[in-house]
Amino acid sequence: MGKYCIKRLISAVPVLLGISMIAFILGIITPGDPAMMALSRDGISEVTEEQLEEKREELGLNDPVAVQYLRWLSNALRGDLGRSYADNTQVSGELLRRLPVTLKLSACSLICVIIFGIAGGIWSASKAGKAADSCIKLITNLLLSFPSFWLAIILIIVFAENWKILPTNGMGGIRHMILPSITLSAATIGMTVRLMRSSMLTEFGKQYMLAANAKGISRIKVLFAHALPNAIIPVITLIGNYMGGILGGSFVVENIFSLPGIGSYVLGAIHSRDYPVIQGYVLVMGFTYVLISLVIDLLCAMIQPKIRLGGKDL
Amino acid sequence: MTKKQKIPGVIGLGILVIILLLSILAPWIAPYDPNMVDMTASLQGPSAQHLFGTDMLGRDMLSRILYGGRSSMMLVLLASVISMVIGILLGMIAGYFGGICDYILTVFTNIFQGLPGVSMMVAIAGILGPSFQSLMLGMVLTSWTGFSRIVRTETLKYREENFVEGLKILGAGKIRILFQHILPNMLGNTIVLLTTRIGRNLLSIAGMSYLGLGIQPPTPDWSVMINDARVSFRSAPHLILVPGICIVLVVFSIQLIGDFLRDWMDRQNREASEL
Repeated sequence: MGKYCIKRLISAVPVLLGISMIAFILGIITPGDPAMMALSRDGISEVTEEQLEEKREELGLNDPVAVQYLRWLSNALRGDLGRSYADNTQVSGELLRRLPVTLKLSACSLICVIIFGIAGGIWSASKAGKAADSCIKLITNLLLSFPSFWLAIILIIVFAENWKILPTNGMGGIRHMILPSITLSAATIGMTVRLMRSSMLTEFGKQYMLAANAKGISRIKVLFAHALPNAIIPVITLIGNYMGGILGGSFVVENIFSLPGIGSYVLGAIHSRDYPVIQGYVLVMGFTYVLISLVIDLLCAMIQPKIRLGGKDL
Repeated sequence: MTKKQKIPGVIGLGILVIILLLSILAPWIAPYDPNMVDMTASLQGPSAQHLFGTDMLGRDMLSRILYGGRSSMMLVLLASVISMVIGILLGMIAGYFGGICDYILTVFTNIFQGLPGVSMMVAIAGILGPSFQSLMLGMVLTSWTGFSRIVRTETLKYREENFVEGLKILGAGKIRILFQHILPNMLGNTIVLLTTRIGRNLLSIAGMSYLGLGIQPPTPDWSVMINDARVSFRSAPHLILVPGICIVLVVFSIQLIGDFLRDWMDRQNREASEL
């Protein structure tokens, strides 16, 4: 297990470095001169050539690109992602302040995925070929086809405007998270139901299920005690991948439900051309996602020895 | 395959063909100019003159719906096909040549997969501004990894097959083996992935357009129409419903076609392995 852990940790290093490079390159390809941007932010001050040169020196824009990248990376590792052009606050501070909101939203969505996705898949598989199964198939197809913002608007109209049972925006208790997390998880629930169903059906076709049935074990017990533990493993492995969709999709949902997470921060920054914030967003999202997949991979290896002993290269 | 199993695929294909035809023919069949503002006719319900009513600015909804899918569908189709070509090329190189080449390309794939969901698209549209090129770039950068991944695995599998050994002995070049003999075997799976990818990209671009980072007004677009209609959803809920249903129908039909192709491929593979 230790050996697998170290191998997996090392394999994450080039990925993290690559993500940091992409974030840095995004800063380089920005149209316009960053020194000019930082100085003329207020729109009134007349920028002189000396001031510009001074600012360029201060921001290190006269150095070679490689030096700039190393300096930027070492600053980033120490938690300094530069200052926002708009209000001169620390980008990393603001991102960290908002990260918990995004993570809370993602965690709630993940819980929805686990509950509805896995239950739906088991139910669908146990009714395979019957009307209920076709019905679930139709629903999962629909869930996968809804644009999240449209689903959110419909949910808001139905649950908040017409029935007035759930709040539409802002932070608060768990009730504020219900509509956003359902919106965010809808597509992932669809995928999980499908995967869980096919995984269960694969197990149903195996010899040990025949033996269990022949022994006269009750249907419920066969389903939950025999098929489920084997069928759920591929699903858990993929939930790590699905987290990417959830994290990345959060910015639409945060905007519609006015949640103060990272997504709504970056959206505001895009409208005010605040490039350090966009850079920071890419870096934080990438790192969060890579770390989450790492944790899930290690958990899977703990549950299933085959993964860490199989010697399959990733 | 029995007739019954074909039904969903045929329905999907039917819906998609109808929508595509209506969108392509929009300039000829739309009753009004989609951008013609007529403030005297603002927010009308469905009538003989305006079949789907009018929006806040009195623009004819039917015409806007007909035009509304053109830009995003074009963009997504082009970007998905480009991602597929890039993914196939890189995946084949990584799988066939192996070694350091494979290692570097796999790390590259992991890096781009490490950027979750649409965050890359958001960042690129945010930095370069939401133009056709930047949306395309963002979409290709987020989509190619899926293709390169499955192509790599398949190439690894075929590399060891007897027919490839035979071809090598006959003196066939690497390029010839890859493109004439290995590639045709993988096309089925990549096309199934292409349908999934097109569906997902359509939803991403819809989300971006809704937030003002995608297709820009005045180009008529379903997502932008939904955003415009939010303020008046009480008096005119159909302004939100109709464009939304259009997006759902397109993605749904692509989904059905993808499922059909996947089932069909599975069947082919099973029959091939039974031979």
